[in-house]
Amino acid sequence: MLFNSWEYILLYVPIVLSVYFLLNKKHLITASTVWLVCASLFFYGYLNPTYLLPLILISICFNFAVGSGLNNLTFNSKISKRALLTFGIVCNLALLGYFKYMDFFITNINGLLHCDLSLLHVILPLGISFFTFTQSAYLVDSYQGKTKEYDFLNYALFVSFFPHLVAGPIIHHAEMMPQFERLKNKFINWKNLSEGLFLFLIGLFKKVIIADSLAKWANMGFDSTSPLSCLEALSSLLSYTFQIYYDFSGYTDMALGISKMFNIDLPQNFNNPYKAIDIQDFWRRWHMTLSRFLRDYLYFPLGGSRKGNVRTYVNILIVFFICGLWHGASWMFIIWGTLHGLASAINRLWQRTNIELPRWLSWIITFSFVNFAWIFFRAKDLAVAKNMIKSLLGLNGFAVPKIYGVTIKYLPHISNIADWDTISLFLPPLLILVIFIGFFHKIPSNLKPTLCYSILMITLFILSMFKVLSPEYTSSFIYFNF
Amino acid sequence: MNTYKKFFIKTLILMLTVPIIIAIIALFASNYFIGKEIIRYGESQMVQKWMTQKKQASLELSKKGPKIVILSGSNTLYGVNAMKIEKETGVQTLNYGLHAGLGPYIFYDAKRILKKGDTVFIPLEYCYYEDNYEINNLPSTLVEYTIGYDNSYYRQLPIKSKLKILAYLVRLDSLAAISKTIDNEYKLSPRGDAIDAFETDKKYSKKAKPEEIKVKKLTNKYKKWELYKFIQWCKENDIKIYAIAPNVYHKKNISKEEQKSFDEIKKFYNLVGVKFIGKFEDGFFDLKYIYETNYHLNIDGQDIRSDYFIRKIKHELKNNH
Repeated sequence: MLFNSWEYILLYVPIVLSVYFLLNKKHLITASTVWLVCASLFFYGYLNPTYLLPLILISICFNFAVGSGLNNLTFNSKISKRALLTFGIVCNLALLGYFKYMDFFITNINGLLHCDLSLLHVILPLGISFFTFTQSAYLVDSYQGKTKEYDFLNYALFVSFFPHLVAGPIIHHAEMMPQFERLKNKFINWKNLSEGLFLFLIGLFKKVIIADSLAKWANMGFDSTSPLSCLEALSSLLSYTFQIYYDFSGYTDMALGISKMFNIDLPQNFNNPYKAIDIQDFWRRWHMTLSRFLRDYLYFPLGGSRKGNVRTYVNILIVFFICGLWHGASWMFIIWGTLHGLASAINRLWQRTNIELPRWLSWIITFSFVNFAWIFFRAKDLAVAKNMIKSLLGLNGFAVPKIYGVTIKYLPHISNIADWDTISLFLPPLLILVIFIGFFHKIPSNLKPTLCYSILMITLFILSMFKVLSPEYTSSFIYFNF
Repeated sequence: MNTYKKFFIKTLILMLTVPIIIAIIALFASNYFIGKEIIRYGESQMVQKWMTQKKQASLELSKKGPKIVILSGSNTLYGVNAMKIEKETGVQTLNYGLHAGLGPYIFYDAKRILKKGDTVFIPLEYCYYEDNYEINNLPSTLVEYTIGYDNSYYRQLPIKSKLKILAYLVRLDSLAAISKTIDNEYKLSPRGDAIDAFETDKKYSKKAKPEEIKVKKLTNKYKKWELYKFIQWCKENDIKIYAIAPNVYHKKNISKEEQKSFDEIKKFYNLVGVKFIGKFEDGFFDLKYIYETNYHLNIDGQDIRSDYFIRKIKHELKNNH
């Protein structure tokens, strides 16, 4: 089920929310938790229950059992506890490896060894990267004695809680489990309900109106069969840059909003990333929960920056390589990750020179690099990326799209208007809107129960629903693929 | 906390009521601007040009007597030379191939030009069987055409469809389509045939892949299809109707999946009592006969396809006599 579908907005959320608080009002606390777990599993398995449900249920039970083992059993030697952790992590990675990377692996083997192993055509289960990471972190912390003995039902809810299940944010048991256990959170809180709804509507607007509109122009460029001019390529790339941000941050706002309505605070995932003034700053602002996971469970265990300069740079490159690979089984994602790794290493080297660039120049360099790297993230293969770069360098010309009015009967009629011309018409105001909305995430905490906010919320709802209910509107979230 | 409770409930009530009020006002107002040539989308301007020309031709033919109408999306527009068919069979013939993106609209529109005693051939594109068009099924080409040019079609739609069309109007990406280019101003013959698709487009042929046909299993829901309703209307109005395979770029062999699809289509026509002329393979064409999409034939392809129609029409005429 998609967050931006009418079934989810008008049926699923109201029903789940009402029954949950009703059960709690009648002090049926366990029943309310069971209800939320079942509702979350229904949400997850909505499209393909026979394929998806066994997978997530086995994963939850397995990790809970291993985690409890690491917590409870007194092992005589430290090695056996370590063996259990290794077993748990290997099983999680094997699951992820099979479902996400098997065909990629076979393709590469075929290419390298010139053999013809047949592909498995495994369908990538939704959210597998997210719930595998969440639970792997739980196992590591259990090994380190940082977890306490959790109740199975609350653990199942922690993993399957529908707002974060399919595309994050990547949550940490230490910040979530106490919230699920707190009795106060089980009862309706009108302030949270209002703020949550507001945040959800902002997210919906970001996704449906901004990201989906920009998608048209991004796709037009990246899927184009004919060469693009420099400005066309730039418009297309900028469209994608903002599409992916508003798609993912819109999703995250919706997740945070719905979760808040249940009195659960999910961690923030974005903090105006395109305002970053260096690449490290970017990663402190972009997909913050993934950065945190990679830092705590990969970079630090690798030694972080404590083992000398060379090792630090190697560690950075490893982390970003894995980061790229995590996004998908493709060399394009690996190139994207590695580019970010190299940029981080260069940034670190630069910092050692103590030369300080003007803030505006740092911003331009960072934003340009991030844009450049998105080419590899979005392009389906190297040829497309190469063409896009060629176009950006002006090797296919600089034709300026003409700015024309809309062809409406009562305006001067202009024929032969190219699709690209519409970009010049809509992109500038859209980008201004996009930058303006970047500040929206601060508003929900400042929500005042006034008529102005009511009107704003209704407007966001109406505009978004108009689009959701229009013919042929189907749009998934970009991060559902990861 | 009480303030937030009031705020939440008030906002929620407004969120549910305001859209309903807006929808009612928009539904009322839309009757006066939808389909009145006020908002014209690029592609639909082209469709409108074809439509006007073909309707004019139909009017003239109807004055003279019964006619053959070949009705479908653009596979007919490019695939049939009605002038040649008319010359060879001696029966006045109209190419009423429009745009498959118009979905169920072509049946609604055909009722305006078909008269008692006419014969209609329907070489429908496979999307007609894949999507099983019902009245609420609105492809974007149809939405754009309705907004621009057909107020009476809009007025007879159910409220749900009208709301969908209105929702389409406020989509930012639909605004982009308003100023979309009309790439080619195709020339049509006096019988509605596309006559300037000379040779295969090189850009297309580099990437062309043969069509893969997949049709859903037939269920009892077929009585809701606009195609079914159209067939019934033809029968009631003494109009002969024949089904025939569309022309399409396809490899010669048929996969098991495709064979199942063809069986489903034939099953449908058997159920509704419409004769299916020829075989599906008769509509398969090699890439050298294709113009610039899988359903568009070039001039050579059109010639072969028209000869096929001539043979089939002559055969049917002989049988009917």
